[in-house]
Amino acid sequence: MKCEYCLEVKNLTVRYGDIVALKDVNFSLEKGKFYTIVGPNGGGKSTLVKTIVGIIEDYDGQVQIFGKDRDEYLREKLVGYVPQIGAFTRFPIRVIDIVLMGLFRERKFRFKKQHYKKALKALERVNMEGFSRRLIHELSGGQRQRVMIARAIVSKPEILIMDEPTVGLDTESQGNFFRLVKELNETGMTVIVVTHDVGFVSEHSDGILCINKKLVVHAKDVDELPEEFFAKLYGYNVKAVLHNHKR
Amino acid sequence: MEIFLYEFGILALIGGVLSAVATSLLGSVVVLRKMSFFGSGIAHLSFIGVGLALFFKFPPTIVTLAVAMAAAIILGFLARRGVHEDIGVGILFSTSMALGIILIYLAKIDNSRVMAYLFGDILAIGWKDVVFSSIVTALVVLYIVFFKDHIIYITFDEDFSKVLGINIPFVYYTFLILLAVSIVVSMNLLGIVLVSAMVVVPAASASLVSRTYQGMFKLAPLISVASVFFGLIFSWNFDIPAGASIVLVQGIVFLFTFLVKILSG
Ligand SMILES: Nc1ncnc2c1ncn2[C@@H]1O[C@H](COP(=O)(O)OP(=O)(O)OP(=O)(O)O)[C@@H](O)[C@H]1O
Ligand SMILES: [Mg+2]
Repeated sequence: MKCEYCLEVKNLTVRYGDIVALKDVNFSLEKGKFYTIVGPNGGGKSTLVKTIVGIIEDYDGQVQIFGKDRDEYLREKLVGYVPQIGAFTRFPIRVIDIVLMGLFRERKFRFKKQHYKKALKALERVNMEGFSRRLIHELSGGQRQRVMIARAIVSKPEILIMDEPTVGLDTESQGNFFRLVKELNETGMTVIVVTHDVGFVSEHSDGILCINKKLVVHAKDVDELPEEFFAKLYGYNVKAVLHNHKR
Repeated sequence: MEIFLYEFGILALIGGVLSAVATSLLGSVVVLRKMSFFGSGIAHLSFIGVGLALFFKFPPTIVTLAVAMAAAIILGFLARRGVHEDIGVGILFSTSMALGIILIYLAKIDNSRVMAYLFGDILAIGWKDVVFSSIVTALVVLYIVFFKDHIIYITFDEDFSKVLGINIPFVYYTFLILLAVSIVVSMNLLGIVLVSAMVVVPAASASLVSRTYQGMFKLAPLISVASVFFGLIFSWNFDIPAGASIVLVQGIVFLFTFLVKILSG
């Protein structure tokens, strides 16, 4: 086995000016699994995700992806990233162009037919194939979210991180979303999902990270979580219950 | 059409078209980034350059260029640290005009030369201006061909452009510097007062009628070039100032596209 972990975070501390968003976070994730990240608002989940995918440049500690330093890995490959949905500014860009963004690194000077084909395939996977020529602000919130997922998976990354991707998805789309995650998982892709959806967590993931400034819990299995875990989680003073999983 | 039988008419047309292409391409980015005030700000800031050049008897184009580029970089720097481009401009705008006016007053320059900087004179440009414009326009076209998607990504989704590893400072500052240079070139034709129209108005018209940003990059130069052409003809036929005539045509096109947009729902 070349590399045990696909993602190793060691003593990660991230600050925004005086605000410490993450402090001494440590964990390691295995390849090909499906993880969830939970935690209260402002707990640092998005900060962690942004640090892993390369948006946040200044941090203390180490982030290693497949045994390589983050920046070294990111020079060669992308980590798939679905941002937390925010206010979308009106911008005259088509759905297909947004998905093509995910293939930007694969092109020389311009997008060619093969890129368009891949982008359309990715849209198909999220059931959005009929929307490629629409402008992004002509879509509903859930549809936009699916476009963002298509952009993240179009480059077939080894790791896919999604920041609250199920917000705004209807029940059927959530079902489709789980199925998509399973399918991607089966191709060997490691999937990490930030969510507040506790039902979602307990049902589907292989491991849970709980972040509240520090990494509070890293449970191997949902069953390992103590009873009032989620009650505590969204209150203050969450105690460390479990640390890095041992196996 | 008679105007184009004369060398000055042809030079005005070539110079005007070149500057129309450059300013409308960059103007499309300006409109998409919602930094319309920036163009007029750069032009006004450059007035310090005119003042300095006349006061110290330096070549005005070079000094104005230097000042415009410095202004663009400073404003860009402020913008990347959270001061919106337009706010930065608003603060420096009037101060720089005042400084320019004082310098020119102290230099005791006669008013007609100052008027030329304020209102430009497209019918007085020479082959040297045309050569200079061609170089600048070629650089702008190259930039748009190669970096259109980069600057659009940065505008639309800066976080994701970081994920893609786009060199944001390079793309952004190159854009600002080219914008500053194009504005100075167009200032020679249209003057400080009217130059921002050249940047913003054709691109704004294009944004009304084209669905996508790609469409804007095609339509804005077309509108701008046509405005230069008809503006020059009208200026000759009705004996009105050429620069103002061009800007007026651009304004009419905008009004027209606006009406088309409203009437078509
Ligand atoms: N750009 C920023 N500048 C300053 N502080 C920030 C910035 N982004 C986040 N923060 C702060 O860092 C902390 C962690 O924020 P983060 O967005 O990572 O939380 P989160 O866990 O994703 O929350 P949510 O569940 O609401 O999405 C918060 O206290 C937040 O106020
Ligand atoms: Mg968040």
